Amino acid sequence: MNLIAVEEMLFTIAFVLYIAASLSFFAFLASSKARAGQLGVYAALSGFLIHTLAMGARILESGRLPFSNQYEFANSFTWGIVLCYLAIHFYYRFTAVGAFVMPLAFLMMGYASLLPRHVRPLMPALQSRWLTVHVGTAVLSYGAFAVAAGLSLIYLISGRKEGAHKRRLLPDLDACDFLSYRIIAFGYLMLTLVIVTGAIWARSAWSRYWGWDPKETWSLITWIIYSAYLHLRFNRGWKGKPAAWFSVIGFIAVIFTFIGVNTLLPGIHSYR
Amino acid sequence: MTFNRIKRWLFSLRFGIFLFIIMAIYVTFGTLLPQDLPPGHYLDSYRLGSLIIALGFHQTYSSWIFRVIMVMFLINLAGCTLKMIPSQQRRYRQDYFPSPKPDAENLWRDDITSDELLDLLRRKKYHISEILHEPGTYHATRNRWGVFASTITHAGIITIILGSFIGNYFAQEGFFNLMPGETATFHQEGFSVQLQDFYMSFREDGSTEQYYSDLLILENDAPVGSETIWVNRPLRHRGMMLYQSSFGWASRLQIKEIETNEVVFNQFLRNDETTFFQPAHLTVHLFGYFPEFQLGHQGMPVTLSQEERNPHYAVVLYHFGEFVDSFIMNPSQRFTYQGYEIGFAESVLYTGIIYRKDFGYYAVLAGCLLLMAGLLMAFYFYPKYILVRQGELYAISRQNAWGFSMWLKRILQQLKEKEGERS
Ligand code: HEM
Repeated sequence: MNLIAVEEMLFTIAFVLYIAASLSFFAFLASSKARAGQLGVYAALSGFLIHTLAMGARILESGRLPFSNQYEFANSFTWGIVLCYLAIHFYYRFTAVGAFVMPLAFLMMGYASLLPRHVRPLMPALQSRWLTVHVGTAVLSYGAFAVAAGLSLIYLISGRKEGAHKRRLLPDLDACDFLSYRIIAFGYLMLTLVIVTGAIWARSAWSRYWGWDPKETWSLITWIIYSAYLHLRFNRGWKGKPAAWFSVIGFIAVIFTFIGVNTLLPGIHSYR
Repeated sequence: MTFNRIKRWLFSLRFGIFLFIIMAIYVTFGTLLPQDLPPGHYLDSYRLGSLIIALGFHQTYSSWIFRVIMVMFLINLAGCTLKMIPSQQRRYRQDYFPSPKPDAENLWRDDITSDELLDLLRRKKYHISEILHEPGTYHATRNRWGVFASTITHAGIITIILGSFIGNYFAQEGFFNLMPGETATFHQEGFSVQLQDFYMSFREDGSTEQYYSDLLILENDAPVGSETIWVNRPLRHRGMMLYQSSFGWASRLQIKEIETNEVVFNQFLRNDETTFFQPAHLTVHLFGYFPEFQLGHQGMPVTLSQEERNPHYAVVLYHFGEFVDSFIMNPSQRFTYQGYEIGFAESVLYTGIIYRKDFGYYAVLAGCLLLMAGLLMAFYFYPKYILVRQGELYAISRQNAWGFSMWLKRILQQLKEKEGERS
């Protein structure tokens, strides 16, 4: 059996585990049985480990990090979302966040599975050590924004369903609010790094550091949205609902920058 | 009075956010509409074509409206930043200490004494001072310089924008092709580069791995150095950057007079280039050179790779503008026309090089570093204040009130657990 077949098999198992995790988290929310939540965490964790193995197989096969076409990036992005979720879970013990974040992860993985997945060697423009930092930070940044959007959704939904909140299933509302802010700060720092390393790289690959390519422009738009969020939050005391909506809108911009730009507005930056 | 009102509004966060929104919407149009086409195109293809032109969306990023937005943004940001400096300086002073918010949580635990606490904070690198007129009250602080985070972040953004303005107005850039042996000269910088060789490396599947140009650098016609450039590895000389950007094939067209067996025409043609041969009134159009030729879709010639495995030329002939014939031929084939023998002697690769000189880049780079440093300060090295008094313990921060209290609770918990293990 070759490595690519191994990767494909592991990928499928991870995909199934992510779906199982999402379902368990939903069951947890609906039934308030702690066991269901535990099961969700186990499924997410084992899915993550198997997913990591799948990525490892691909890295061995191609001899480089899986960062160079839309399939590989969607795959890494999924990995980043689950990594950020698990980090938050084990640090703050917010099981219910999984119900909002894991579906995002398996949707993203489903998107990845639709894309052509053959390993191709790097084209000359991508042969640079900046690739690792540039895309690595993008994975972390997008993962963080996804988890923040998940927390904001909890905030928006549980604000309405007082019952669920009383049963103490969903995390404390204030905690959700604060935590999504802190995670956005981290994602924003990473996004800034993505743009800065992109500019440095663009200067050495394409001669100009900024050329208003659709991907560049949309990453700037995303950056502006989160800048506005951080300012409104910090200087004007925006919290709660308006902040949560803002975080969801920011994440929509992230998704558009990632998928919309590549499919609708291709430029030199769409490595498909 | 009104002047002050205008100033207040111009330097306000509200106006800044407004500009953020305008900017984001404005550039969004730039990504949705094709850019830099002639105005007629927009007038013909869009119902609101004249509006597109009036608002500058046909060249969004260089339109005067966009420049005005950017300049307003600069003014707003600079004003906002300067406005805040005095209060930051005040907060930076040794004796500044904020009081806890009315709804702040008191983290005091009876199982930990003040001394244990201060000891712990000292180990966590907090600066601790006892308040003179309130014995038993301690102020623990860390990262007081973090108050300048926003100023540094904003200074970074201002530097980036100014650097990009420098680039817009003073950068020189352009493009040239060189065949081996040819030279390009930069008069202003006082040097030239001669292409010694251009070559590619291939992978097993025939795809191109990399493009290389061997360049000889000359000053006053004397060589001063040589360098090989490839994609992602430009050459830098006297502030000018040279980038490997593209390549192409040039093919030598030779025309022989059959009677005398004499070469009467000898010239390089690039793909899709045309030349005119006066004696026979013949126009030769080199449709293309195909190093690894194959007939593709609908009989169109294509090349599978850039390796010369099966070279062919596709040529079209015209006589006084009338189509005469077209050929697909290999390098050893010749065709004859009115007593002339026509063929291609060889093909060589030429390189395409972009040059660019932009000192604004260094300002942009410096701005990026400031921006990153400022954000790190704002999010992680923000000022932290802890108030300790018998029966009272407050973690105070503007940036991260919840997380900072969480952290303090956590380390107190850890302290107790460790003690528990020891005893
Ligand atoms: C100012 C310059 C740049 C900016 C602002 C920028 C921005 C971004 C952003 C936001 C992403 C995240 C992923 C996504 O949304 O698709 C990304 C991914 C990526 N960038 Fe850049 N980038 C820049 C320059 C470059 C350069 C010069 C290269 C390579 C020659 C490059 C190659 C990639 C690749 C391979 C990915 C991941 C794969 C993909 O999404 O297709 N970027 N970039």
